[in-house]
Amino acid sequence: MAVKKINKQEQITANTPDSILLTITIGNAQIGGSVVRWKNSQEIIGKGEIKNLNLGTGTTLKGRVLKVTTNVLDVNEQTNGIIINDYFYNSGKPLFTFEDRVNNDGDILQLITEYNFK
Amino acid sequence: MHKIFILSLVLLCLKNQPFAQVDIKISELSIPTSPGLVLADKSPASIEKPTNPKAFGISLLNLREGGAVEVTPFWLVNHSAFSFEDYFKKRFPIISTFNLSGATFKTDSTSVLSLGFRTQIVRIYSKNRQDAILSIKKKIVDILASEEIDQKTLNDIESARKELNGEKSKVTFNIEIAAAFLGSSTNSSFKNLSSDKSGVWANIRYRPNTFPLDLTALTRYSWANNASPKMSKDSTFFDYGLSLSYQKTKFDISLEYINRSDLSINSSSDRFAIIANYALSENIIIVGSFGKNFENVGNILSVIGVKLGFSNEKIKIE
Repeated sequence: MAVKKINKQEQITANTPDSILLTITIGNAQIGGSVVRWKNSQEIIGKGEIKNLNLGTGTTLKGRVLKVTTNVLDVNEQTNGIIINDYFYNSGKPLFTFEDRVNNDGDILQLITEYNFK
Repeated sequence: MHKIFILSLVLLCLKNQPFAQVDIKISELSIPTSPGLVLADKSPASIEKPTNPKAFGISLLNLREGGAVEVTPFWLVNHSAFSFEDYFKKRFPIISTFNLSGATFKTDSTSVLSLGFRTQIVRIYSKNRQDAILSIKKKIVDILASEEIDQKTLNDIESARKELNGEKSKVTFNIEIAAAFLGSSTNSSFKNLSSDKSGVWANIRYRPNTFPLDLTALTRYSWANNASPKMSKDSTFFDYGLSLSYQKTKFDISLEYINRSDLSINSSSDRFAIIANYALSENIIIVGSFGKNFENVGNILSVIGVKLGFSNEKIKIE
């Protein structure tokens, strides 16, 4: 069982008075769990399966950085492919998809993404 | 001599296996056995449990006789919307289990090429099994929801994953259909490849919740191509049979009985075999089959081989 770690950064435009909602889905019949918090804050605002997590209205998020840590366990014996979808409802570009592979069944992919709200 | 080759190959593969990470899943038998080898009676088992084939797999019975390559097209690409729940709640996983294969082996005078497919048309988990799988899934999600993964977390995840694999392998009811075509050539040339035999069959598996044995029934219709009934003793067959198997963590042992009716000359014969699979590692399974085959003469069945499964393009044998 190995852990493959990936770090990346993304920019999000959220010039809207509406609430930005985050949903994280895992494809390829794999299993994943996430931790969501604002960077430089220890308070965890979402944990486990993330569905419609209210991050606040778009205009209040400008300049903030959201740290999303998602761990995906390869439980599908038919493929070692991993696919993670972070969907920010009401944002300018709502869908961020990440695709990768692990080497063996039972391996874990850890994706840490920092979303910069503009 | 070829057994020495097999041993060498096994040792070569073992050299590259990360034993500390071994997760034996003999109950899933995820390493494929090609329909073409089954139709040609070259497979150790004639009754195969329905399987979830890997995106890409290789079966190697032994080096002299050849082997098979299989591909499951659905899993060659990622499926972002295919959730874990979809996987085991879907009762008709026809597309996601559709598997194509090509196999080759040699007889004393010919080279045989086979093409085949198989797919699960029904896969049902009982309500109790579904609840158990979802419960384990929730446990895994909770463990995975962490920013730091230490050794204890890894151990907890691995323990839960093994538990999950155990439950996933206990499919309550399965129907898999398969078909294959055999062609042969006397000089190993595609130009002289002649159509020999075709067959279609179904494997129906039932696993009671409380009974320790797996039951798999077989019904198969096969026919010789380019052979006139009454002229050839190898023309049209109808097979039916039953396999009982018992599985433990590292091994699987099966008893199978098949009755074969030769519809063109109104005669019947049978096959009785005991088949054992022993998992050396996740992708290497030693398989042995012993018993009586269909033929009236030379019918002692004795096959020993190794099945290799590769799901990752990065694997290489140095």
